[in-house]
Amino acid sequence: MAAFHYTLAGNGLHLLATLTRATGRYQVEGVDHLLAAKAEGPLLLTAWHGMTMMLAGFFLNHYEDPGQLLLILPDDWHGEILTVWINKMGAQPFPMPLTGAAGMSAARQLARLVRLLRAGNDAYITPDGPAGPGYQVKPGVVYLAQKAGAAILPLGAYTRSAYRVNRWDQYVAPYPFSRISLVIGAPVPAEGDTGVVSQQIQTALHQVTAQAAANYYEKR
Amino acid sequence: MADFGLWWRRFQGNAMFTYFRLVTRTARWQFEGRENIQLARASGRPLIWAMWHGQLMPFMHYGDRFEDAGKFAIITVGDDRSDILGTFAERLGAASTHPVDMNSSSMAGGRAVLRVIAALKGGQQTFLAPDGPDGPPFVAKAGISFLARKAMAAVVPVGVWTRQAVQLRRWDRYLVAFPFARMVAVFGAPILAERRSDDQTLRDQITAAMSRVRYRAQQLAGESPWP
Repeated sequence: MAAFHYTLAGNGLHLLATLTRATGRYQVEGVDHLLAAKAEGPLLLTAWHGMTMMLAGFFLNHYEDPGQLLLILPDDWHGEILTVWINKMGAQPFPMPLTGAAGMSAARQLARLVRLLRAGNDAYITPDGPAGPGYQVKPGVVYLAQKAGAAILPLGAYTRSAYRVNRWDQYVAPYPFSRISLVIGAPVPAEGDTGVVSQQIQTALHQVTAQAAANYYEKR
Repeated sequence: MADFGLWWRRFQGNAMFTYFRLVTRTARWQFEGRENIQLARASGRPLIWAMWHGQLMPFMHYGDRFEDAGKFAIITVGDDRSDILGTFAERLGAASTHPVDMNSSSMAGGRAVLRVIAALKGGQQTFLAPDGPDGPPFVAKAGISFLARKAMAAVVPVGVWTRQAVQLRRWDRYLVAFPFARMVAVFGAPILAERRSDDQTLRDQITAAMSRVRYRAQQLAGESPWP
């Protein structure tokens, strides 16, 4: 049973996400990339950490069964809050020990995650999360994709009318009734050297985010 | 009657230049990786400065202040914007201006590119925004790797950023600095293109390097990449 203040914060996040989803206007590009990759196998959806709130509404709208979406989160108090929120959305929270030394429990959780992905679940992961440094891809996402044989799909989002939390990821909390531009990029192949693939993911994530901003201003 | 359209475009070019010079004269600079310019020069190859389209203006402030404009061959878009940009380049004192028609595959466009290559081989340098002139953003098109390979150039990736600026609401979030802006310029290691380099690999390399220096410049200026 989560502590009262965690439940409160989790519900607050859910309220914000529901408001965004219900009142926001989404302009989405590249859904065909999502559908094509989905037909091939498990997906690893990636986006910069700060974009999560804009994408939450999109997940709810575009996933017939959000129950097959795993959201990877830390197993500390942030994770407790997020677990409340994600359960309310109907997706599966997947807490992982992301800080500190890599112990046996972390390895077991990773193996479980790989199994779940191979069984046909999708996962959402923020490669610069949970605590930065911002906008830099860490190697975990590539490793996971290689082990699970999943396609890495870069997602980008942009809106002008949002509150931006002044911290490492400039977390974007969109105002209600805002227009939100989303771009789903072409899948990044995970084969090959981890460093090279990480660099490719980083480039792809910057590209889709820039494209989302471009669409926001140029296409209405 | 005189051509009012042409007069108006020239006027725009002159107005742009006046504002541009004001910013150049008053800006303060901070650098990182300036030794990379020396490295590129030492290679004895023609220089191609590469940045994303949104940072063209701040880069030109750098060029205007610290480089010899008389050694630059400037590539502009070949439609009616070329009158504005041509006037601008002329006022800047550029050695030559090359309007390249980027939307068609006409012979004229090809000839203009050949002239740029010849200018590069003749000791001039140029700068290029490979995602211009109309996007999509952060996607390098084939021009830069082609030009670099043919001229056997050293490509210097540049990231310039300032917080004292307005980001225009368009595809590239074009950065227009205010007077007295504190500019940060970051130069990446030069990428030496060989005639036989693989085109796609070279382009990926340039793309990654440009994104890296842009991010670094933003970091030094104290801003996040996606405000």
